[in-house]
Amino acid sequence: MSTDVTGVSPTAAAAGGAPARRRPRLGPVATTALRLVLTLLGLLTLLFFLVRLSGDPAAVLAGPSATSEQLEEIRTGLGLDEPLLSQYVAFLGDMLRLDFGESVFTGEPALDSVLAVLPATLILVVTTVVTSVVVGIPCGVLLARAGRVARRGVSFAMTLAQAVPSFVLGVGLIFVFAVNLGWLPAFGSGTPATLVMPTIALAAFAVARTARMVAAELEQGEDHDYLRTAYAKGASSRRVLWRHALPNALPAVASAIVVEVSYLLSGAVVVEVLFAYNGIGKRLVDAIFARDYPVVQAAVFVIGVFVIVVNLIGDALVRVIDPRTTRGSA
Amino acid sequence: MSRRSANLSLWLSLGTLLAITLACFLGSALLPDDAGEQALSERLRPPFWSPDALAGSPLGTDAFGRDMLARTLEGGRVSLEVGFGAATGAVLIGTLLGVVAGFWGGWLDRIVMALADVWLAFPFLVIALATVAVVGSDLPVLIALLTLGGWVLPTRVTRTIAQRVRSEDYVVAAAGAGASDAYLMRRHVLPQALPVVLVVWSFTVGALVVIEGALSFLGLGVKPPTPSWGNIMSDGTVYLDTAWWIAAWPATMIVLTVICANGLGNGLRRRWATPDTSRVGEKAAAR
Amino acid sequence: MTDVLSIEDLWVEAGDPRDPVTLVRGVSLSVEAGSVVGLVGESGSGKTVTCMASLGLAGRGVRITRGSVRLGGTELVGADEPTMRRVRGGVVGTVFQDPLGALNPLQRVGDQIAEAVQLHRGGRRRAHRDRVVHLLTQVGVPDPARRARAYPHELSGGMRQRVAIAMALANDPSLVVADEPTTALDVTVQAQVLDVIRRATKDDGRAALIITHDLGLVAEVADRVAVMYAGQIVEKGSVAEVFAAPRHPYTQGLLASRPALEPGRRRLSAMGGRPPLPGSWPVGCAFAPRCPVAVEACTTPPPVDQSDGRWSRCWHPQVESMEGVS
Repeated sequence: MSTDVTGVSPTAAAAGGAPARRRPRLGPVATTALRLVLTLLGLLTLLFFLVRLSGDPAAVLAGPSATSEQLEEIRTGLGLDEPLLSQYVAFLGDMLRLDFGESVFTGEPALDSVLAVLPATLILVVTTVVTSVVVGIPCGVLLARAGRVARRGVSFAMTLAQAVPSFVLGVGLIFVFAVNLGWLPAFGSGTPATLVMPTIALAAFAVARTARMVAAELEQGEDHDYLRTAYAKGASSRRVLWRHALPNALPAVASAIVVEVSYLLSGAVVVEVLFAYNGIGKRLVDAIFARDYPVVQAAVFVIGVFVIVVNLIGDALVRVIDPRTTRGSA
Repeated sequence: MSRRSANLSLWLSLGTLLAITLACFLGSALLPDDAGEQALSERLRPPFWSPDALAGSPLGTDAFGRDMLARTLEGGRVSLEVGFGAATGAVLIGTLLGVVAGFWGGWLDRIVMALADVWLAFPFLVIALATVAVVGSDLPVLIALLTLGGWVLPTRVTRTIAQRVRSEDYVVAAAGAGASDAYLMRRHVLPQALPVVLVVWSFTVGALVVIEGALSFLGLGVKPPTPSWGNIMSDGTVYLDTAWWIAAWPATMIVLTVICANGLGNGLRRRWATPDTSRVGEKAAAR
Repeated sequence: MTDVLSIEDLWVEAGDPRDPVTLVRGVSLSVEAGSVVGLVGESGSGKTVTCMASLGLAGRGVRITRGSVRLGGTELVGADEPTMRRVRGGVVGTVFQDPLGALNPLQRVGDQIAEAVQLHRGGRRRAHRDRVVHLLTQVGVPDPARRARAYPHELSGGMRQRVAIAMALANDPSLVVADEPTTALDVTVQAQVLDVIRRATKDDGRAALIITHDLGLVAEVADRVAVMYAGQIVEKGSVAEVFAAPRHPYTQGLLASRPALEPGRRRLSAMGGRPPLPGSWPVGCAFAPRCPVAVEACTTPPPVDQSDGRWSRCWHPQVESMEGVS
């Protein structure tokens, strides 16, 4: 190419840029965020209509023993006597103001009652992600580089970890470590010891996924010329692995973990209930059993926002790790 | 993995899955009618290897004195009905959406793909719980719900195939010669998509059996007295210290089913190794 | 003159040890101090494998089964890892074909060059910043201090290959091995990069082994040339002699199929057929099936003809002299 002297190739400049479109295009981060916000809105809308259309919510809320005055009171209290559309508009307005109403049982604002247990879930998710990275990456390296026997062993363990659902693993852990050995508390939250088993139950799957991802990236990257370049410079195979091969596997692994978080939250719901761990998942399930719809809506909303934030952080993280996604795209 | 051991694991997975299915569907019919009946005098009897075992109940009994073998098989029938049913539904819907979106492209394609992205980003169990909370969890509802839980993967893979086939010379030529889109999709896209769809189906069975298990375990899926592996486990959790086998049997069955479903998917993927199937990857073994 | 690199009777194979595929059979090749040798052949001829296996860079499953590779007095066949690491990047600098693939996409190019220095001279990478700038200047990168901070994808193909060359020169090696250094580049840039290579080798008195299928490149920078076919060297000698009067029919074919640069001499006779794949080499002369002058004797392995100070592996001079006798 004739522009060689400038040192910047036209293809390199174009590679990261937005493809030509008629409409002005949002950045990828904004697109992701917008999509997720729309989903959240859609989900809450669905929830709204499901509650309104599946019979009389007032009757559901009041329970079978309620008198007709009580029913009437609940209806007016919730605005259920208004037309559906104006109820929906009011509902959207409430959402914008982050007003989900009060818990039917405690009378406390629904959002507050959910936010109060958010930190517990956050801690659980963080310990799980950290575990999946700290254990998953070495396992992935073993899967890709170890000798036949070790590789078979790790591979078998990973297959098992992927096939054992978190609630099954959780029950197994309780049986071994709480019931038989008595090393760890079976239930509860708030102390580090109560985090151990929920984290293992949740992380097993994520560890296996991370390991397989790392192994696949390493194997795929084995033919990459830059690894041969590193050897040609005189680098040891350990240095090539840790300084060149693994860092190049990380962007893909990071994106995979971001996707993983949505599965993780699904698992967290079950695990929190199983271990009576006081997080959002348990709050959600308790609220469902209690037909405490304001709290259900608030919990779904908070989980949705959580997913959006994780996706944004994940995108940003991949950008930090991989210069190709940011630099040179101007 | 060598070719021989890959084949072995494929046949082993398929065989075990078939055995589990047959046992659950036929076994629960073959057992005596009163197998699942309560017998409060025979509560919490251990499995056959223990001296306290109850004759005729080799896997022990539960807290109501019900035979665990019968419960496990009957629960398996329900779990597999939901799993197979929903996976089949998901694959049918996904294939239809994927083929049409990939073949036609345009706004339909963009909408379907955007939906798929968003659907995957959001924890499905939360959506499922919120829905079950409102509309309840009869079996048809559960199957419909889990169908929605599995539509993305088949949609994505069949879309890729449809896109590729659409641009191949012989298809362009056939279209030029006046072949209708529906004919082209049926004649050219579907046959090429079939192996991949089967691979996706097996992974989806595993994933959905797990989701059904989780919902029922939480008490928001299959409702007692109808057994399912998930709700039997939930019952058994209370008795882990005295009668661990109640939880152990359904747990074993769930794990075995998932391993075999994944093993079948992986095995088929390797056997029909094409660019299409290799892309399905471990992605599918998601929960 | 002393040999910097001396490969003796090198045999290389790959694949399942019980059913190996031979890639290189009995290659002997030497590079004198200060001279540039071109190793020529079509893809699959074993030219890259010969060099990469010698340096232990050929990848998993590729094994040297026989022979010796001596580099400045050090035997590399069977050498331990620390020795190989000292040699790689220290005594031998290597340049690969695809400069984008050869650079780590996640590291600034300056850091990558600095790593090459650091691996052999120790210290921190930042301490070698001046050396990096010096090297980049040497290979003709404008504004080197700024370019050192660029990532590979931000540079053009020519600039990337200059960076790769700078990396190979990092520790002032006595030998540069370059594997198709211009093939992946745009035609307009090839000449510039070739110029850089010539300056870094011939002009600096540094020995080089350049693997290429481009005879024009050999004519421009090399002193000596070796032609490989089907895992063997079929002809070697000084560039002047071989180009003026090729002995081996394969070399003749290669030279004839090269578009002549002078106008009026556009004789472009492509050789028929394709080179045989490793594992399916004919028993006798591997080139015989494509050879325009093949005779019966060519079904048996041809001898090396070293008459007149030349070197070629062909039945022909002998066959002709035998025919002359009878």
